[in-house]
Amino acid sequence: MTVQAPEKPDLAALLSRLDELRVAERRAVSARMVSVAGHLIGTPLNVIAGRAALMRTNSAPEAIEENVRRIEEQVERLAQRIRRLIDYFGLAEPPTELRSVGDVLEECLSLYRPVAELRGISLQVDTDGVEPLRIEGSVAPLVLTTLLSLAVRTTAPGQSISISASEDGPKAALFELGLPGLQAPPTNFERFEPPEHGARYDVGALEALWVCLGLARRMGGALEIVKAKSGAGVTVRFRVVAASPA
Amino acid sequence: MREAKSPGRKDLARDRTRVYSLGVTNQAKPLGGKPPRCVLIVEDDDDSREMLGELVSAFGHRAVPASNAAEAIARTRDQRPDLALIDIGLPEVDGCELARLLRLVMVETPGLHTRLVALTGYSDGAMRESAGAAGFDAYVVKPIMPEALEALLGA
Repeated sequence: MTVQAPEKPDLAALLSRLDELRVAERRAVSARMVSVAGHLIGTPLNVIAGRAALMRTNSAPEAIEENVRRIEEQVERLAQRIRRLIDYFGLAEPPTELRSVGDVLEECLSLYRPVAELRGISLQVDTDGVEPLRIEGSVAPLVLTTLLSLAVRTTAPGQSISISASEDGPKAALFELGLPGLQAPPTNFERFEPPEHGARYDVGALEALWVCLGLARRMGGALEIVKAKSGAGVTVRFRVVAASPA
Repeated sequence: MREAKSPGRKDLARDRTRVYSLGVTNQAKPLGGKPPRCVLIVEDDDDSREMLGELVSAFGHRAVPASNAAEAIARTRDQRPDLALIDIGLPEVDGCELARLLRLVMVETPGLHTRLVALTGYSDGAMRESAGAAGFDAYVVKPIMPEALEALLGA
């Protein structure tokens, strides 16, 4: 019996599959966490609403006093749960070493260039003069790869994604990604709120933008989404603190 | 993208009375006007269970508490409730599974007709579908308000 050697794996297909898994993992984790947080917060709120309703049905002073006491208990329970959620999940990662903007961007692009090619999408990169700037080397690539992943997922074959990096004042680098296939997020996006009930916006896209906005702010940077100046889609501006080369 | 209008105060007030009938064909006894009723409250959170019990009592009905599926089945057998308010998110055996089990209890217990109502924090169509498939007669989105309870109890 002859055993055939396995076919050489298609790197682009593997990277594409890895990206799909990454998106699915993020979706699963965030869905689970939102569900748990919603339950933790919703339960005391439901009790408060019920106690308020009981006050409407029974206006005897002792009944009101008891229900007020129980509402205060639930408010404290709620506040404690919220504090614990924020304290535990809001822990910041330790700072990592600085890396040049050029290295960081090239590393991120090298992961998504094959995926983009596989899907018939071109990447237009402009990093003239920014390479020597140095930025945080762990979270910034996470933001960039998440944005690239979103860009590749929402761009149609034959279209192109523009990526530029530039110096933004003496202490910041600015990355701009043009996503031609992405609609502008809802107006309440800045407050991390989901769209109004019944409104339709791709939950995966909103989630990716939320993650990036949260990470950017946590590292002292900023993320802004504006309508593309020309053509369809949006431009995402990711601003990150940078240091000049020593 | 379709922007939906956010709910105003009037919408929220109207929502309080909203009880979603699931149109399940069953042997549930109609609840028309014979209080006091026996109401089983199945809820794992102590404060929620206690509050619901007080709300039921405030309407002159008898509340029977249960914190899990095993207790709920035992109380259904010995107290024969007219109505069971069941939290969907129970630990171990969840609310949907409990509804299925209670339907079996009703089949094997002559004369026992308990109306099963799901209490849920979810308001989407998928939840309505799974509650109906599990054998619930209706579901109410939390927080349950006196108006909704009145509607359920036929008061």
